[in-house]
Amino acid sequence: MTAKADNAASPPAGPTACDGQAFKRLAAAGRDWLDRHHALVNQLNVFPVPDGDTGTNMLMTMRNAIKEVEANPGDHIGQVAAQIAHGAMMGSRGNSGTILSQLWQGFAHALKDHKTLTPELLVKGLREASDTAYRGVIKPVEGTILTVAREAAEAAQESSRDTQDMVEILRRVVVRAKDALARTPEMLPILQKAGVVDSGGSGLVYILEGMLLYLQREEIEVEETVPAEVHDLATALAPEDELGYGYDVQFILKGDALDVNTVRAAIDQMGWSTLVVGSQDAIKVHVHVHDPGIPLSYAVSLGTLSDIVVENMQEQYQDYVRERGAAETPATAQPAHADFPPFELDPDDIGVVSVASGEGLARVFRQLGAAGLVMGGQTNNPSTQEILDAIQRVPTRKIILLPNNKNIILAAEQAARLATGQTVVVIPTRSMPQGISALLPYDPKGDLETVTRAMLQAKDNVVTGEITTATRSVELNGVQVASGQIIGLVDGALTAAGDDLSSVLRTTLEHMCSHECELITLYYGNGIQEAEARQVTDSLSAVYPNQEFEVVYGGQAHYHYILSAE
Amino acid sequence: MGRVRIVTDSTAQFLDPAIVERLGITVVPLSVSLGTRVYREGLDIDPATFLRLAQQSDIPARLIAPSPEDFAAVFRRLNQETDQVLALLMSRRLSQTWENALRASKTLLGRCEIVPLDSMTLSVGLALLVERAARAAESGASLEEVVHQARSQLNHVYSVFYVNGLTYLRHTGLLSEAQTILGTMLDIKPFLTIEEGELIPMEKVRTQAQAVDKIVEFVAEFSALEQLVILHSAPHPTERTRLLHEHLATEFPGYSFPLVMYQPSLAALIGPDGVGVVVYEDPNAEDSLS
Repeated sequence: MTAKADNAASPPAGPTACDGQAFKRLAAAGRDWLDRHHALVNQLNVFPVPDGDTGTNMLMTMRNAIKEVEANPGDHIGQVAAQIAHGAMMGSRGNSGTILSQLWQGFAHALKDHKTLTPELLVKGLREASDTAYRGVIKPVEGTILTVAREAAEAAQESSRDTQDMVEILRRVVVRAKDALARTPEMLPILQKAGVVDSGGSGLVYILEGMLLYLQREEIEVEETVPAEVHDLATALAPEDELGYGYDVQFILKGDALDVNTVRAAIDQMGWSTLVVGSQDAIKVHVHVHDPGIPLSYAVSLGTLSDIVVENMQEQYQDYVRERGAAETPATAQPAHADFPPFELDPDDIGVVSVASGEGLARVFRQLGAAGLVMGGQTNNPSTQEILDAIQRVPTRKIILLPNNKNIILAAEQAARLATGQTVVVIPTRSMPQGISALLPYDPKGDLETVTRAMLQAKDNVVTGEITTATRSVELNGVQVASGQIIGLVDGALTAAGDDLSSVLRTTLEHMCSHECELITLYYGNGIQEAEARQVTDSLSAVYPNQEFEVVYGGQAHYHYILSAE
Repeated sequence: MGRVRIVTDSTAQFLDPAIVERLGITVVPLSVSLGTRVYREGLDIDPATFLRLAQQSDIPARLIAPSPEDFAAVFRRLNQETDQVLALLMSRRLSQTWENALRASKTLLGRCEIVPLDSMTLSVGLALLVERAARAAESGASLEEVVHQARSQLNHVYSVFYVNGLTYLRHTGLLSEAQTILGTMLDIKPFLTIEEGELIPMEKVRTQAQAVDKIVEFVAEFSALEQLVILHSAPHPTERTRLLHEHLATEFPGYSFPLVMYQPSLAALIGPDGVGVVVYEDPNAEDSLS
């Protein structure tokens, strides 16, 4: 913020304008503040399942946004905002990340052709941001990030009537955004049941708050008081228990000629809430990580360790870590199914691009004719850019896109809009089994409308079940879950919890109305051995004598089993 | 000299076998091999026994077309009574039968006018066409007229089947490699249609219930049915054929849907455990599918 010196000297009149470079720093502050709190945002999960973490998704979206603009030395606010919006759009992941990118698009549109950000433009920008995001979803739901964005815009509008001080306007925006966030459970009953506020809304609050803190820091020293305030917010936001934080790792590293900055940068990459201070011969490290081994191994390669403290911040975390360690497949990884020849397609055919959450599932999609695959799923939502790249690799003019996860649908729709020279239709499949079912009637030579209709219809032929490990304790839908327990979900709703995998499986199947179905398929995850899956299936087939069972390697992370009943 | 005589092959499956004799239709048998045995269709083995054996066999059955000499013998015999023959035969895309009849017809050039016509179908669909041609011939139509009528009826016959797996289709080589590779990890029930004489996979389903729905959906697209026959692979109605029959009866009240166990030749093509329907649409219907 280029606070004019004469203005800053005479409070309450704060800065009344902002150029492109200042705005860049402001946006980066929003990103950083979200970075420091994204784990908290991740905690605000309605269902206690490992899934597309909202905080991580929004953070990755923001990171890409800032990266895009980093090298731009220009002062032109319109151009800077447009670049941020573009970066956000291409980097958007998950529904909240996609909505965030749409906020940026609306904001940038309002600023187009303007050189400097003024209070009027700020108001207009926030309003357009909110309007664009509302338009971006088919059925806007209140009690979400949309509500927070809209109320933030309203607060800006109201403030601008009695002040031109942009810090003050932003302060009121943040106050109102937090207030709206706190009210999200009143608007969305599921949040109330789960005892959380909306995660996407919370992410947006952190971004706005980060911007405000950056401005305030320039003028007043708030560094000490801020954490206290945030701590309160964090307490308000966090679930009742203190779970899901991973490990708190602290140690002192001693060595010769240590470089604090290098160590800080490295540690920062490994986790969150990083604190690295010290000198050439001793550095104190404090970091929150999922795998404490990573920072410890890194540090021991540089010197000797002392005062090591590792705190497990989540009960039953070992299981989770074991799976996670086995499953760190970045969303950008090339799918491991090159052993199948690509489906022969003419440019006039319909090509299918599908998201797959595991190696085995990728192969199933491939065999059913998907020409393009994007690796990703519950825990690693692919970005709009990654989906777009997969679309563009398929050499057909007509594309059908299967997101196969409810948290990937918006990014898929965004990618579909961005594709040029290709008509892309999104079939809003919410699970891997829905995607597989949708793919059955796929006919590459068919007419797009007819094939789309058949696939839309086919996706609802299955009931989806998912078996995973609870990431926190909660009571929902009358099901009491303790963190670390095995839980079962049916079409995304929590239905069973317990300590024994096979009994949870059985209850889940019960809720899937499996007695009325013909075929039950178990896609086993990467933490399950085939023999184990077959054994489980054998015991189930005794309960379901009239059903056929299929056991297929899914290879997905975190989800022991994905089930389909049809 | 004499009326037009109609020749067909044994894949033609008549709802009323007696009309073969009544209308003077000549049926040339194909053979099916199973393991080391070769059976002439309709002569050496009854369909129920064949289907049972085929279901038990690890080695898929194979279809063997009649040789040119088989056809030539038939044509020579008929030539004693007539010099006009229509050989209405199973789809040339599915077997050598038509080609062999064509070669045989050339041996009688100048003596007998023989038109080998590719019906672009087989089984019940072929029989429906043959029966109509034979009736036209019986009423004294010329060869040209009979051929013209048969040609115009070809595209009113539709057949769809669904089969339990892809093994047979892969074995018979009737589907391209790209199509058969599909569904090797999952149990897929492909849904097949005969289009332009070719066996084309239309859709894939996972359950019998879905397959039944698909068949009903397929039939529902016709505005006017003249005839609809259910083909299945067991001597008695099974759960799924009963289900299909029930659905069709609800969807199309007032129609009857004969249930027919299919022939060894069809089993050799699609496997011994399929279910399907053959539709003959009313050719006079206003907005019939073409």
